[in-house]
Amino acid sequence: MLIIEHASKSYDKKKKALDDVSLTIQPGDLFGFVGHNGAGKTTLLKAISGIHQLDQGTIKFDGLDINQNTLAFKSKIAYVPDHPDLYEQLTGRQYIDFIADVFKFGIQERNQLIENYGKSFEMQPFLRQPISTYSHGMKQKTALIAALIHKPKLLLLDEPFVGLDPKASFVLKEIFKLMTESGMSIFFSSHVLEVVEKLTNKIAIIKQGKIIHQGLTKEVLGKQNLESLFMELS
Amino acid sequence: MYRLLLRTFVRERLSLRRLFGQKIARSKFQSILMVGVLVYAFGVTMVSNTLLQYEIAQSLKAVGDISPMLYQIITNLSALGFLFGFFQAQGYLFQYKDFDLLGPLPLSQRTIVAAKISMMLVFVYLFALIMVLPTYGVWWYESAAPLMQFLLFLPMAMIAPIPLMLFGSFISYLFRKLTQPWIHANVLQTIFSVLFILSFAAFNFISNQILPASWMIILQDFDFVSRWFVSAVAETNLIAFIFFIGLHVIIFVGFVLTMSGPLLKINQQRTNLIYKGKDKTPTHPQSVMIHLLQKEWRRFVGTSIYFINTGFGILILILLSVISVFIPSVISDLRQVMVAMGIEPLWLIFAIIGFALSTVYTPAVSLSLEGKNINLLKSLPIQAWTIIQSKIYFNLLLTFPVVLLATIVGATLFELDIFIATLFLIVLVLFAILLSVYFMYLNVWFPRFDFHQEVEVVKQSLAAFVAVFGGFSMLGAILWLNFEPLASFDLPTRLIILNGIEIFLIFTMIWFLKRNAQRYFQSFSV
Repeated sequence: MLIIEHASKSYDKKKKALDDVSLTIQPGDLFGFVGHNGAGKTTLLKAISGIHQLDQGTIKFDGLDINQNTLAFKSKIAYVPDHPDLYEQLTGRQYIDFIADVFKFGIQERNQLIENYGKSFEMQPFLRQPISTYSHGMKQKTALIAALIHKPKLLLLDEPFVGLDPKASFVLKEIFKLMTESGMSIFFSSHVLEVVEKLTNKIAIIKQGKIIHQGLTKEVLGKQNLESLFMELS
Repeated sequence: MYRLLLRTFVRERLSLRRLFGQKIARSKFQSILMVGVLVYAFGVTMVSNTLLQYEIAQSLKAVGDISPMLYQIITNLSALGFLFGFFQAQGYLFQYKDFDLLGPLPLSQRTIVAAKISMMLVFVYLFALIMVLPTYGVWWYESAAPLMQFLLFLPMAMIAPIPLMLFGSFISYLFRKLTQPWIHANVLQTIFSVLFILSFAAFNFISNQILPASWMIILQDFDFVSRWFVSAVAETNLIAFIFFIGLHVIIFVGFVLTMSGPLLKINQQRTNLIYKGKDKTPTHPQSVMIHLLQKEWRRFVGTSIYFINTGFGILILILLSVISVFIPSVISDLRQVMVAMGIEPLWLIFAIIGFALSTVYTPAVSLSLEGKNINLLKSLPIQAWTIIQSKIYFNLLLTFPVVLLATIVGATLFELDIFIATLFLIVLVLFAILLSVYFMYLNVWFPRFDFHQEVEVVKQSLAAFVAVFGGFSMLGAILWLNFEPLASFDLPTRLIILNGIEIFLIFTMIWFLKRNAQRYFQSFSV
């Protein structure tokens, strides 16, 4: 379970990018995170993944504090940024192997998973090519395979559907469902409100660093759709 | 984990594609030319350095002691380490671009720092091959050293750059820490870096005069590390070997332990900015050229490695011009010596200014420095030729004022008459334009847009490499024309002929460049 309590961060000591954010993500949650550009979505995702440090507040996963049990915390999560900046001179396979080795993930199971995910995302023919030759979507798929390869308990994704072709988007949504059914938690930001509305069981809406709405998707939305709620709140 | 990280860094950093660009060259001819140039440059450097070291060894043998060659080795290794640490720590040790990738992984910060330092060392080894290997080879040959001495030398040489590399990194970290909160952090850091290097050079230059002799002896005594190195290699002193290795390991481990935390913090705070300026709202539209020139200026002052490498010649010329004004008697003596040798003094000015101009190779790299923005530029309704012109104009805006200053100072101190001085100034101005167009040619021929750090373009790209050597060759060619085929003409005639040759070359090159600019741009991709 991910527990974020009173998380605050400011880049310029004046305006708060995150302002007293508290969230709880249970095992099996597929949690959508929506907000305007610059509202604080990426900042929160980066703080959970250890890229940014909070000015105030705590982030705990399964009882592990990110600042006190950093490595144990990180060994349970995976993060996929919106524009994955991968090691471009490595091949896709080399990059995935690098990530799997960092997580000390067994070779047999790894090979099987790479084959499966490679097929699902139609990346198999390209995994032996340097990443520098990939399109944005192919990089995104490689980053997703690398994130999934070590079976994280919490998957963090920043705009995961940007750049993906329709089939890959469909595959990713199916993978999301399978993973959450197996008890994994997924926390992702997106501007594609229809996807968030249909896919998630929980959502949070962030505005100017503050969570202005959160809870079960059905309860938050009530009888309206996410787009109209979002427009109403913004 | 350390080995896994280092292996990945080496794969990423040292791949041929990374070193020479995505598409190594646009044609087979260019590929062959590129390989040829590199092999030639490497061969010439190695052979000439070996011959030079051999000559030095013969002189040292005459006085019965060739151990100063070993002192030279450790000095070179340490200097390489310092320069690498000072200029590369930002990008390698902190504020590296793969932080977003490594940050979320369960890797200890100490492991990452240790692997990053080791990767920097790998680059030092590449340079050390050229600078140090010939010296050691000659020493080994001349001293007829047994294999054991080589076995002691190798590990010591491999870790010798560490202390000063870490010191240089620490200074760079301090500068970054000081400047980080400001919106113009890069510009401030560039200024600090230049001031630091110039102060260091000036101190070295005058330390013999300002420090008491007793201090110099203390400083020499303090250099026990070099003595351990020399003693271990030359006398197979195992105690000195152990001390040397031990000290370096302690420094390495100490740095990793103490600096991992601060380095992580500076990475996590990379976007903290204090913005105190106010954007001026434009009152009227500006021309595209002005926008392009402003962009060039911002990149020039905002990228330390670019500013320092391509702006150093300008700084040196300004410094020399100012210093010359205060030492007229030295200049007068120099003038008399040259006259006595039968050489017109103005060619000394030409050689100095020409040399400095050859190092201001901004057009050879500024197109590559556009990186992925080249696609944006291509998508805009701007003529390729306009973009090329902006890069040439920017270079000339940098060099013209300095050429003017240096020529006026030089002409005054060397007492050139006004007619000769004017013709000479035109030769220099045309030489600056010629170089600028030539540099631009190199960049359109050997673009390199797929870089991760600017240093890959500014120092390691083929265009940058060929630019400086080509500039020196052009300088040599003009001097040769003056002293050989044109020697029978009087000075004004020679200057007029040289002006004519330069004008011809400039117009020819510009004609070709302008004609093919659009085609070149169409072929650019990243």
